[in-house]
Amino acid sequence: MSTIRLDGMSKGFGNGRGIERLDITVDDGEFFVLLGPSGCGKTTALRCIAGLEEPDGGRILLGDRVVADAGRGLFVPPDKRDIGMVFQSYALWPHMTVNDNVAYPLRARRVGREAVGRAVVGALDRVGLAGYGERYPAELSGGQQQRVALARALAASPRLILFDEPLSNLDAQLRARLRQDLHLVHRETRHTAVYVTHDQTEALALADRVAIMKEGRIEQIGSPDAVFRAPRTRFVAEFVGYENRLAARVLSVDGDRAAVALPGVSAPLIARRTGPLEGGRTADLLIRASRIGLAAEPAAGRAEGQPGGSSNGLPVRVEDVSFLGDHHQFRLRTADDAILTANIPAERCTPGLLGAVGATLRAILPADDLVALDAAA
Amino acid sequence: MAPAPFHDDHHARSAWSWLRRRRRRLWPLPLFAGLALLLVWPAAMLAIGVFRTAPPGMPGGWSVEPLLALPGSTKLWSAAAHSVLLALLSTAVAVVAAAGFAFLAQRTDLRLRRLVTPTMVVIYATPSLFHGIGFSLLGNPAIGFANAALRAAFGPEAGLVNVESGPGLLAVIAIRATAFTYLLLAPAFLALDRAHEDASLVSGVGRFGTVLRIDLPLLTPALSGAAILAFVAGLHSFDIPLILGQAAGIEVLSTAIYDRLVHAYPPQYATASALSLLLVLVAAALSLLQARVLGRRSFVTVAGKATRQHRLRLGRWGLAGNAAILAFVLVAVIGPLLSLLLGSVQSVPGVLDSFTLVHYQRVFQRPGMIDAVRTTALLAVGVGALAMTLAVLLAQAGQALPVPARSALRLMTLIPFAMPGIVTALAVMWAYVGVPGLRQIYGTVWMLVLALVVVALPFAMQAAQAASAQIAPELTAAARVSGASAPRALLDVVGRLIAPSFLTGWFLVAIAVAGNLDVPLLLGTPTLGTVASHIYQLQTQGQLGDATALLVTTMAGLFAAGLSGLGALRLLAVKRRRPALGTPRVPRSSTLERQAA
Repeated sequence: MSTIRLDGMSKGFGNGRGIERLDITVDDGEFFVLLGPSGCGKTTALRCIAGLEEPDGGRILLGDRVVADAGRGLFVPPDKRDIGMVFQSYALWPHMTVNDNVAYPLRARRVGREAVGRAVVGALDRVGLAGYGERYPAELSGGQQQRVALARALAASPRLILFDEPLSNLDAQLRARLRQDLHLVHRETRHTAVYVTHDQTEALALADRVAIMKEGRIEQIGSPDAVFRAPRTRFVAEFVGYENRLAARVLSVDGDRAAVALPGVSAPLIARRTGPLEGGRTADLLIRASRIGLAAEPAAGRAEGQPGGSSNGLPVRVEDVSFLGDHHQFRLRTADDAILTANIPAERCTPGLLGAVGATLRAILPADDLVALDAAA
Repeated sequence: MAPAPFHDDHHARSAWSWLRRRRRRLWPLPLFAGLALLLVWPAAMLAIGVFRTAPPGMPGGWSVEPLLALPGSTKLWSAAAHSVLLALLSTAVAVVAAAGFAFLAQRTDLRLRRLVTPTMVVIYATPSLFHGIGFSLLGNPAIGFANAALRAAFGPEAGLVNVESGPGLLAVIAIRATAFTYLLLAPAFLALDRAHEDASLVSGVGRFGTVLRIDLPLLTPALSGAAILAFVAGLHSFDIPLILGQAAGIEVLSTAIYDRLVHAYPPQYATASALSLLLVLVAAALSLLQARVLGRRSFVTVAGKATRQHRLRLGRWGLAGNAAILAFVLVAVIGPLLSLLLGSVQSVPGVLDSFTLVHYQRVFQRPGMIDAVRTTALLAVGVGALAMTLAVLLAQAGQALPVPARSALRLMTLIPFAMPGIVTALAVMWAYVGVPGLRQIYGTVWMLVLALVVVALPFAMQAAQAASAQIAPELTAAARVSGASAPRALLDVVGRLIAPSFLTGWFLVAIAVAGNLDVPLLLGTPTLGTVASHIYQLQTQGQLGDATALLVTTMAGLFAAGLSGLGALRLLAVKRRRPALGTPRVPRSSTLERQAA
């Protein structure tokens, strides 16, 4: 059993930053991602789990074992916690070969010579670096170095592996490849993992569950799907890629649907509610740029940008269009002077749409993709 | 960078156009020529001097006899043994102590850690003459203040500290070497990537094992490089063995050279030159080794981004760490300083019951004293400026030159590192006294300038390299594409950005020049002395009170100069920061303004 429990854990740095009473439970074999902007406390939380930082308050349990209890002054140092960790800077020891780097945790656990050799070969094989054992870290590329770091973390088969932004020093292509590899390795070994990142794509691809952190607290916790489809605060919504926000007034609420009024728009819009919302309150309407459709104004028939689009829309003036490869990005201004960004797939962009700079079109905001949040959330 | 073939049938016009065409590639030539004259020529003449039968500038023949006689001299063997032993032991002590202090200062949360670097800088910058006389006043068996205090506390039989002995000499040299080594090691300790240690800890290896298996191997290049430099510095030490070793009858190589030149009659120039050459060759070989060792250091910086540095909490061990720092400050700085201050106001050194300013009055009435002060000030300021300018040019040229030329430059600048002051003085004598037309500068202040620039160059180059390394090449490149010529860009961008470091380096060099004893002792004349040579003369004449008073006045003067310089720097910094508010951090280069005009 390798569960993790943070029990009201706090850690301050005296500069206002830190963690306040964090409660997290990670199940055995679960891949848990801490997602947040820099300075939100996610790395501090991870280092507390590793034992590289000592919490000021609360408890940490790995399995049934209490490894930190600020109240009792109990603190188990990192070398006694049986964990593996992958660092942002790889942290490969430059004076050791790849073999020695990977063997290090095994030798620390006093594993026999032959078993070390087998485990090293196995771990290098698993990360696709068989035959690289005699090289020095400086002789490897960045991606290879990070694979070695992963092999080192896996080598002693710890039940818990911690990842501190392991992919952030790599270029985009490599990041995608290694992300897939990490996912595969986790499916094979089923270790418990805590993974810290500021990249929402990584969180989506890897997490069984994701916690979004802000200023030392957890904003929202849940499956990636739940967090990405139903953000419950404006911070979470913007962090997971809802680029557009409009201020609106709530007219009525019916189940998870809410009717809202935008200033300067006659017909009410229908939006999806992800948290408590009451009629008469001000709401933030949030939508991803990729979910906005564009149609001729007035909406006489079917929308052009959105097959089967409803008339859930508002008039916008096209200010600019730029080509971004597989889609065009439209900069739109509403009657209320708010700016919307819409990404329309290239194959749906008619010449009429592309030539519409300066013209007024209708932006279609599908009710399912339009999230309404109480403005105070 | 060999000059292209140059045929006689080319008349002046085409030669000129050839030069103009090659100007871009030939710009380092004046620099190389200057360095050859300043560094290579004296070193070569020193080597030739080994085989001359006459003193520099005198007609004479050739002989290998002095060289052949060298191995037969038991006195020289013992001097060499002392030198090597002193250098080895002081290096061993210094590396261990400096590593300890670097760890305490850079990696722990000790309260007194902020004291360490300033203390080391002060010790490093203080001329060794100060330590020689200061420690002699502190630990002299008869009149030392430490012994007086011990006797007062524990009775007349209390343990005698004797600094004028082998161990005493070693201790004083080791203190200076510790400061020097610390300043080399501290950046390496600071640069240790905490993630490397963390990775070891989470792998299951404890704190101690991590230090042994991760930290020490990572620091090996820095440690061995620093050890080699400390060893060379130990071989070169002159003032301290001269002042503390003579009483104990301990001769080292550098003092043996001095002895052959000044106390032997007739002066044994060839023997002294042979010994000098030996010192230079050993030091050069070690410096090359050190360059190789440090050159491989790149393998330390494999990591991508460094993680935040967290300081180690020492807990119970904190007390011991703080005590070690405090003890070092007391022994290495406060002890000799207090001894000097006290010694200068006692009628008889070591007697603590009188107070007099007579030394301060008397010393400035000494014949030639005012001239010496003026000469010293001029030398300190002038040589400081010269050496720093040269060093900045070298550092910049080092970045811009193609690889073979850069190696040649590195090899040439190795010479001042390998030559101790006494050897430099001798080499300069060989180089310039022997040349008709240049002979007139013997006995003038220019001779001192030539030797002191060489002596000061290592200090200056260290300061200039540190300063230049902070300036990204893009900054100069940006000035060039904005239309500034290479010298203009150097002045506008590099010059202004490194002005603070330049002034600091200038000051450090000025201190080193003011405190240098070897050069004025050998190249000075009865009428051409510096403050340092007067201090030494007073000390050897037994007028310790006067010597101390002069030393204290000199240190106070340097301190005042440093303080006012610091004030000027602050003003400069404030002025520079103001326009940076709200605008990108670009030096206020006139290039852009000129472009706009």
